Amino acid sequence: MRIVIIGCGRIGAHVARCLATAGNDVCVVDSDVTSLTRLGERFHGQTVVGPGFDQTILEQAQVARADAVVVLTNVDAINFMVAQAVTELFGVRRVTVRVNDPEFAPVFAELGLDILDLPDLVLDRVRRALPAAAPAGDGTVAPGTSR
Amino acid sequence: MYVLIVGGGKVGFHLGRMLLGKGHEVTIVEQRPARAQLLQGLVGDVVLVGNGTLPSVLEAAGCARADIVAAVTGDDAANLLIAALGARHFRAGRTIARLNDPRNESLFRLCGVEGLVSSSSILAELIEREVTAARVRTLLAFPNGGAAIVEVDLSARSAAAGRLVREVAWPAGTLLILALRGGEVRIPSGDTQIDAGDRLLLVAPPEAEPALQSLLAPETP
Repeated sequence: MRIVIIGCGRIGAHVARCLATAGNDVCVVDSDVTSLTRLGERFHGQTVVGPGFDQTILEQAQVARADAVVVLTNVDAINFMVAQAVTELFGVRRVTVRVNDPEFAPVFAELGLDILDLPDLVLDRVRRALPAAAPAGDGTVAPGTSR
Repeated sequence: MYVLIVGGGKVGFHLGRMLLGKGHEVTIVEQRPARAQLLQGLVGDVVLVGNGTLPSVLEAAGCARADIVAAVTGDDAANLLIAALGARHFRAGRTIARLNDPRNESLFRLCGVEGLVSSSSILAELIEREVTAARVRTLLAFPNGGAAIVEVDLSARSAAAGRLVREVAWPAGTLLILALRGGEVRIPSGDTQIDAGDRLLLVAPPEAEPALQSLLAPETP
């Protein structure tokens, strides 16, 4: 399977290494060449340096023939733009977008994105680690409160 | 009208000041606290400090009741997200996005951004007008590319010089809309005489430009 990963932070690099080791055809895109060093010397997939929303960069990453695209940068606006570019310019259907600020989870979903809601995943895991009696809320936070 | 401006840089500031001067209600959302404070001193109490891509900040700024949302930050990703949220989440009246990098234009269009203002392209066109010797100069190109407003200085070598407007064989699809002579602005009719040295403004499709040039500013008579 060809999998294109946009954003080579610690999470992106981890996902890329594991999927490549498992035998997938992995391509990683990051605008910062030093971020790509996180992949390590044993990574044998493709790497592309440049902004993930740029048409020529996405062409180099051959997203049009990707089975899946995973957008994992830590900037929500960039993730949104990358997802739009991948779907609108290249017609990729399976695109998953990381949500960094929990505010974006409902609106990204409303705008039609398949979201990877990291804050909620962490919350969910923490809840399960708590003793059963602990009040854990429903994940909503009043607007304007600090995070 | 209520205009929500996101991005308090030079573009946002001048837009806000101009709209306030015309009596419109304005809010400027600016992320950098120091810049926001500076703006507050310049335009008054219409500045909201916050990250304008965040739904909570847009909501606090009254995005849902805005007649126009103008996303004019220096970051195309932010502008695209603000435009999408304004149009599709808050359903504001109209959204306008500033395009910083012309390479992102096709993506903005595919995403359905209605009002797209490409600051770099506009600047490039204005500068091109100043530096090139093109005889037919584009003043304003309409977004769909079907027509533009162009200007030509009527040459003494032109067969149209000294003629009445109705005697001139204008290329198909073109329309003379103004004839400027010195400081005088004339709205032409069929009986208006155009003379060498007049600056003519026309609506014209791009393919008519060579014909306009050979008619109005030929290299040889």
